Amino acid sequence: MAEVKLSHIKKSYGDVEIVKDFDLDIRDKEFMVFVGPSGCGKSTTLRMIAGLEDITGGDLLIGGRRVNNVSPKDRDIAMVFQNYALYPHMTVYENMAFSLKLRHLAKGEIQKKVGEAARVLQLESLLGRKPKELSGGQRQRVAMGRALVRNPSVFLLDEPLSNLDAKLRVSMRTEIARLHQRLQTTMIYVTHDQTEAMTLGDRIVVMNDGIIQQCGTPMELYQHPVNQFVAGFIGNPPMNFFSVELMENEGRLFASSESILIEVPQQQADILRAAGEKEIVFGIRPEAIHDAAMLLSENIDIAARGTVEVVELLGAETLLHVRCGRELIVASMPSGKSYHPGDTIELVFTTDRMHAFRKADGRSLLYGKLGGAA
Amino acid sequence: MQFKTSTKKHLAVHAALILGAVTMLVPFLWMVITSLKTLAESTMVPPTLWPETLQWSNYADVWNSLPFAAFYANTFGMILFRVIGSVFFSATAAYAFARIEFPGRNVLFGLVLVTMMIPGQLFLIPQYEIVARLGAVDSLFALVLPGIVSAFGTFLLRQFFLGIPKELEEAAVLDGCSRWQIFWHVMLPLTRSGLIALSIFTALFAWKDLMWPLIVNTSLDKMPLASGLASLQGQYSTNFPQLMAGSMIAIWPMLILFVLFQKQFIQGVAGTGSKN
Repeated sequence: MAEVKLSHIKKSYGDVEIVKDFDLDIRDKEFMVFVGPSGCGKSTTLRMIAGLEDITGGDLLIGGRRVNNVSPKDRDIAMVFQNYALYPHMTVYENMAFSLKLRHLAKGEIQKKVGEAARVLQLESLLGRKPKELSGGQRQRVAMGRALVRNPSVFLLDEPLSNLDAKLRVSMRTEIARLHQRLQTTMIYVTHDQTEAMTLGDRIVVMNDGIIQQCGTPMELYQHPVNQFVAGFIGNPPMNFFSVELMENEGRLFASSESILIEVPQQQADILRAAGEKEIVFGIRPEAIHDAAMLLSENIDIAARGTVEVVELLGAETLLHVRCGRELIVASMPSGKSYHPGDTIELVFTTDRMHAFRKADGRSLLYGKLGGAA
Repeated sequence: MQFKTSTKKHLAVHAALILGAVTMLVPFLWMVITSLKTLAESTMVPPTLWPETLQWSNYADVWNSLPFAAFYANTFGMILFRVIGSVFFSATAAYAFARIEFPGRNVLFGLVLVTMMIPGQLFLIPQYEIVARLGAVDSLFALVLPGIVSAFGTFLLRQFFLGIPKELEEAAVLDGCSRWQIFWHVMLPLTRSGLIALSIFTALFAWKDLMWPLIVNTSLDKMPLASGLASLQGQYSTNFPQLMAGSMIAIWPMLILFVLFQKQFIQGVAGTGSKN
């Protein structure tokens, strides 16, 4: 039993409120990811769960027990830090065994537990080394091992991959996912990298300004963002946003700006009409934008015409930055056709996958109103 | 052209360093030479550069005329207890000033720093008063007591503690360490070079402490080396060769210590200025 329940958690430093009314239930064995920009309060929340920060208000329950005033060592948690926080004067073995020694475990048992963790993390040959003799990836594994030997109910990971290079980050990401599957322990993972969040999390909490913006599975967040912030934060490359006016014409609803004209599909149009907004922020993901010249159908509506400014070849896909008047649209095209800066292009939008946000506060006008939304 | 400028710069630096080294070495060599002269030769004008005959007997004479065994014992005792005391108290105080939030922390640390800025002579009378009221005048305890706390040591070690990442402490908290265990198992081992530097400084200051032992102790057999040697200096006349021979006898433990811990000594000096 290791659910973590954060009930109206608050954190303030003087008059400055860092975390505001954080309410979340993390299920047993769940991999929960807190994601958000720097300073959004995600690490502070994690540190409150760890007991490294006092909780200003609300209740924190781990395994059904209120732990607001319980010392970190008695919360049955282990934490992996961003800079690993390995004790430099101790060997890998001593680092991993340290917490067990403090708990006065028998030497044989310590050896067994450290040996087991070292085997899982492929650290057996490194046990006699000091941290300074290890590479970044090895240090990261030792930090994981140190947490692992304690067999905690909850793992807390604070941006554990931030200090690694891009390639190693990908392989360690896989290792962490594998470890979670193997251990079946509740994990709470903090990152500012939405790719890590999407690939690792059973559920993701997107935070901004100390507030939970949205909590859901990666696909829920991707397909049904609750507001413009989540829509822009989740997904790489990010969603395109345009300020558009809504216009009725012969019973059909159009969204238009200086350089874009889109017919809103019937289901979305009904919702937008009911919302009564005249101006909205229209959102569309790069992969929902197509090159008209590549489509076989003749009955297509051109949403925008523009000039290719930048071409980014990514192998499986090509990212086009297309200038359409004042708008810069990023479109993801399948590789095959070659594009060059200066090419003119006609763009077609898969409008079924459109998003619409209220201009005043960025809230989604379609969230929860279309089939499949959370 | 650039090579020439660089060579000139190197030559200038080396010349300055050689001049500094010679300036430091000459008094030492003069002490060695004087310790091997006769009394007459040592006061001769103009002075002789090298003794006519080497007077090794100066060493035997000074050894027999003063209780060197007691001097050594007192000096080593004083050094040992002062080092233990100053390392313990400085480390605990420095850790508190560096890592524990408590009301008035900065003001108190400021007061510690202020004591470093006041001339040490000003403390002599109050310190003597304290020792006298404890009934400890003319004892090893009197030699040790004022040296067991060190504002300099607190300042030095605080710099070392500040340089240790906070996450290490937090990791130790999660591992189950109490405050004392964090200090003992994590923080103290990581300030090893600072502790060695402080030990060397404390030992050095204790070894060359002249005034305090002369004030607080009166019996010759309760004196450490530096103060004991001062008894060779008369009001009207001084036997310089014997004084220098005595100094030579007194100096070798410190020389060995310096040679052994040269790296830590320099690191300690650098650490006081360069760290946060």
